[in-house]
Amino acid sequence: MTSTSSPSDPLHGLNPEELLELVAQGLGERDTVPLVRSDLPSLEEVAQAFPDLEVEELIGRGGMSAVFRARQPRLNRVVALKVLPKSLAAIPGFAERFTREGQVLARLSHPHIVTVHDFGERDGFWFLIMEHVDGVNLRQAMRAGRFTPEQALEVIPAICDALQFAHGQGVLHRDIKPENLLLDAKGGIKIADFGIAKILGEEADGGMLLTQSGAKLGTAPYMAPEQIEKPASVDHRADIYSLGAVFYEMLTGELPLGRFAAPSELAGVGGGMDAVVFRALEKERARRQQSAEEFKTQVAGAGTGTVQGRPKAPRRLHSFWMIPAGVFLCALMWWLVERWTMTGSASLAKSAAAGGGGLPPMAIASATMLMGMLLFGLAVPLWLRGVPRNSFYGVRLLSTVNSDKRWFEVNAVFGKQLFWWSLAVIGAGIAGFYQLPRYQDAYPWAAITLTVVAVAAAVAATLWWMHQHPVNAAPRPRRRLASWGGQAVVAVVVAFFIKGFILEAYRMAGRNEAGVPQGSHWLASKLDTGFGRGDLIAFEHESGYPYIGRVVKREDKGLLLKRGGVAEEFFVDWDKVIGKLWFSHFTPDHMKP
Amino acid sequence: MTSSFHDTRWTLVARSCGSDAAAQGALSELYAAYYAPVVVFLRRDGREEDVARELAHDFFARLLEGGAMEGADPERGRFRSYLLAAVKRFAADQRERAGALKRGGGCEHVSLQSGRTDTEPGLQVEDAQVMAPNAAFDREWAVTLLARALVSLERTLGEEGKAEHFAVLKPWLTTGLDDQSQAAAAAQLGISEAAVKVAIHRLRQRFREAVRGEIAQTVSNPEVVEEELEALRAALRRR
Repeated sequence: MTSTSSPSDPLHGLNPEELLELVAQGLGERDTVPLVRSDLPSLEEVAQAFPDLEVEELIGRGGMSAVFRARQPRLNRVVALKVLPKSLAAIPGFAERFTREGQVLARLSHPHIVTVHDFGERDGFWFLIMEHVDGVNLRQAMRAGRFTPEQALEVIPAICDALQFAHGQGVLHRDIKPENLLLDAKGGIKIADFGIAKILGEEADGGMLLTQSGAKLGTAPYMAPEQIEKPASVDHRADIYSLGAVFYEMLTGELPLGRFAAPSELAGVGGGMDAVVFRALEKERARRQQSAEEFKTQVAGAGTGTVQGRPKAPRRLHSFWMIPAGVFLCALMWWLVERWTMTGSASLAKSAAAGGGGLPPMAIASATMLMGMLLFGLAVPLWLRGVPRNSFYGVRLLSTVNSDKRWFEVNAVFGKQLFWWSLAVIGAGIAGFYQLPRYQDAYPWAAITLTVVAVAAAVAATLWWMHQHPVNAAPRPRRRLASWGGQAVVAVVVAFFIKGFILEAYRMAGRNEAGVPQGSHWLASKLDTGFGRGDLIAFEHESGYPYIGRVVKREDKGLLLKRGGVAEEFFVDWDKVIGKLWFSHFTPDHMKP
Repeated sequence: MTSSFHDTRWTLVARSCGSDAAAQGALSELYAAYYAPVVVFLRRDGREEDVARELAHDFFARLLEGGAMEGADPERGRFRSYLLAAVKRFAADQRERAGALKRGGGCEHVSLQSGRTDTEPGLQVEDAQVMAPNAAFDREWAVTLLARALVSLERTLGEEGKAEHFAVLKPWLTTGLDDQSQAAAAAQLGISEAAVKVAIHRLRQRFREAVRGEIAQTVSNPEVVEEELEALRAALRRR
């Protein structure tokens, strides 16, 4: 032992996350070694080694092999040429594994299993020549979003047939997953990649690699529990489990992890299918379907109960409907804000002429407050996780059906957002009771805008949270830009409301009034909270500029004011009263008395 | 193989409820190994470094003498969850006591604080950049566990006379480096490039086994090993 780890860096400078990733890989993905580009045989090298083939292009590379598309000119057919890199052939186990795949495939001649044409070693390359499937694998097809439950029901029987056949030949695939199911252009399906297949009754596991390290082979989410725990004891029912997982993913687009939802909850399939899937995914293999044939029969039986005409929308649609909804919401808010500002600037004379038609201001303020209290009452139980799962209350968004925990979490996020917004709406309602007539026309529009913004913002924030916290995965990193942007929007809306109806800042241009230095900054309250003699008032002068004066007397239709340095008192209509100056929040030093 | 799996240190401890001597030994070994996460938790919970260390010491001392094993379910148990729950309870108690002290009671507790009062929570300002104590604990736990696995791997390789292999090849535990570095490693170890690949492959295998072995020491049955591994991965991903 020459070196000991320094106490300052027990990990030897290695990244802990990547280290654990490596350990997890050992569980799931087949074992790989660090393949570098130069390990992969080049097209020229391969072409040179196989003079009887026209090697066309590299169509795939896995952890241990490269697959080329090639043409056999004499037979005029296209084949897939799978080659084991020379550097890997040196590692014990890899060549064996490769050989095994060839032998297994040779045993299995079935329309839904890829056919092997040739196998051997040439110029140091171990190779397999197989049937070329012109199409995509199931993973690519699902990712492209063009997979419906109907299509799933079409391909499942074929996979069952192929598995049943393989099992009958004593072969376990052990790595059934979407990547290994190939769809051809005509919609047919073929099982590929028997690289870790097991032949029943064979001595141990064959290759050294498989036994020496006790490595578990397969791919984690699709592996049966016993395949993880006791890899040596697996039988054909492990393939049934994997098939169940693939089927579940085809139907729902999700993996059956943890306490997963029934397929009928997530996709347009009948409840009969739930039973088939749940049975295949039983932990205890004795309780699963006992053969692929049985699985197929049950799927066919349950298939008659499929809800017709309701294919599961591909994932993209979830965001797709949000675009028109978002556009509509923006348009609505824009229209409301426009009403608000227009009525605010140009309508008092009109409404006075019309004799004050429309709803009385008190009613609008009460309605706003009521709305705020309604939102408050809705928000609190949601936030406190007091609302059980049912479809009549709260947000029923797709991923919330996954588990109770998710349901409560999402509701709590929504409730919390709504809670704070409901306080703002209640505040707006209270402010409404103290409206000066000057602002009363714009107020209803502003109140409606605030309410709409409140609900929209709570929903948007919840959707964002759901996006940031995917089911069964670690939360995404926080995006500072997004969260600051969201907060900025909220701040702007609230600030506009406050500036419009509650508070505004003014800078004093004149110097007539005693105690009001020129150049000082004041806050004016725009609410009618009583006007007493001597109060400083901002009002709109004939010139259109705000002026200030002191209250002499309050009258029904307005205020009697007096300005400093001007002898006579004058009357200012309510329409022209801006508000009461509250206090000076900033006075330049040299102005201070 | 299965029986050795079942007799992990943690099951031994949990089943005996910490009473017999073997369990005591196993327990103190486990505690010594996972001292760091506890300190990190206490620090994130708002204590100074030296106070946290001192408290962690008290915490383990109390666990060892008291055998406070209630809540350790040998069937579903994980040592990590157990220790976290225990240290949380301990930290809360500590707070309460500090509070009582402030109100004038419990003079005998002064020694614990060694005259300092800066363990009071009220002054802490929540900072979004700082990890929650739980998350910090789990993260530190994962790092500690990996470090233990690396040490044991280094030791066994050293015993086989392959210390140099470990030193040269360890970067490949995380990344696929390029050709040149593989070639350089081959030259350094005096073996062929193909042999380097084989060696890397074996090193990785053994590292996996070492980590699984470490995890197995802290859980009660093999099913939980994979779950625990996932939990640790999640803890490291969380930032």
